[in-house]
Amino acid sequence: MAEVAALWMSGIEPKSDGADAAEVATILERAIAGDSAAFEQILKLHERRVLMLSWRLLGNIEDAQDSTQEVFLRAFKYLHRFDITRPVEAWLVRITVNVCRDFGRHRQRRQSLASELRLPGVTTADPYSDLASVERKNMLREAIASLPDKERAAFVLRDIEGLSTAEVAGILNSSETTVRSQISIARVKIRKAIERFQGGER
Amino acid sequence: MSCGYSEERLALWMDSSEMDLSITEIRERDRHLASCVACRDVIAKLRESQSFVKTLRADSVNSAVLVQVHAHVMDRVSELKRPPAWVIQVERSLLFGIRRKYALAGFGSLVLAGCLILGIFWKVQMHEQTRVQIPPVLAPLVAQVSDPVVVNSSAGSPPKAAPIGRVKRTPSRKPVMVDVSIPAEPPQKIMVKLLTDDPSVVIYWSLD
Repeated sequence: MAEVAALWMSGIEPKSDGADAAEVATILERAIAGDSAAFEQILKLHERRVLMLSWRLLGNIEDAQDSTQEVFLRAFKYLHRFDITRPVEAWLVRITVNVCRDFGRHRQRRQSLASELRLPGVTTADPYSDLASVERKNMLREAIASLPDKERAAFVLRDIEGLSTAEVAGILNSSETTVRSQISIARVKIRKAIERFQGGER
Repeated sequence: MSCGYSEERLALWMDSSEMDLSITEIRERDRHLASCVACRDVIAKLRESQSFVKTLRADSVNSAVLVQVHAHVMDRVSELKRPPAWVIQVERSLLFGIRRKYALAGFGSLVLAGCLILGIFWKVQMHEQTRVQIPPVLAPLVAQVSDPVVVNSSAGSPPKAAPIGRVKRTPSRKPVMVDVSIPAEPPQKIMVKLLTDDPSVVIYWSLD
């Protein structure tokens, strides 16, 4: 149930995730054997989640696009090393976290308000309140992007992606205690950022 | 906080439904929050900010962006060359599923350890026995000696001259071989006693 909730929160189509485990394993085996059509199926199943996670980790959609491409290229390159008895999703999330960390180190973050405004998640019933909402979300993304790498990854995976602390610890190769500590520090920093923003609004 | 609880700790107390708290912690939290207004206030603010953070879950990306990413990935994938399936299978069976870099690191460590053991073994062998050749200056003197004289000494103890009574004399003229083991430590002078046909002539040869 928790997994379904996490998937829903991540914006994955329920239909795609309902795929039978055996079927997924077959697809993976074919992809490992070099079948690009099978790899395309894996890509279709997970591209939305990887893109959303990259966006949340990097804070802007352009970098997230590049990061997503890099994630799947790495996945294709190292697919033969993947153990098909393990969940492919966790593997892709781990690659995404690593790729986004590299992107964060080597690239200047770009602000792109224009692209945020094009998002379909934003309705146009009340343009003024929508703009305020977009601004708040941008501020929030900026605050998240300003967190140190490990805190950001733990916070995004736990509080936005909705994974359990144990799952986050597994993905980040860390202990649950460390993850809890990182999450609590990040929550306090985000709260302060929101307070600063609200103080500036008034 | 004046009560001693840090804001970071309170940030973990926000929601017991998140399953991060043990029963003991939940009890401690409830007991403390019942009496501390300041902490209740901080937790209320943290919950408010968390509900704001959770609005990001509803975000979605434009389908056009996904299509673009998908096309780009598939273009690049078609360009990438991967080793054939049989190569992957052979590699997997050879490396027992271990990653190549780890397998190489393990192999390198084994080679290094082997070299180290061989080196130590060789050094020990070298110290055990050292053969000393007689220098050319002494060759004429040695040629006059009819019998081979062997002076043995064990490593670590000062060399002892061979007792005269044990020297075997034969009429044939043979080259003299002096087999001396040099003590490893501490370095000492070695004195070699050469016996000639004439019992009144004894040659002493000092080796540094």
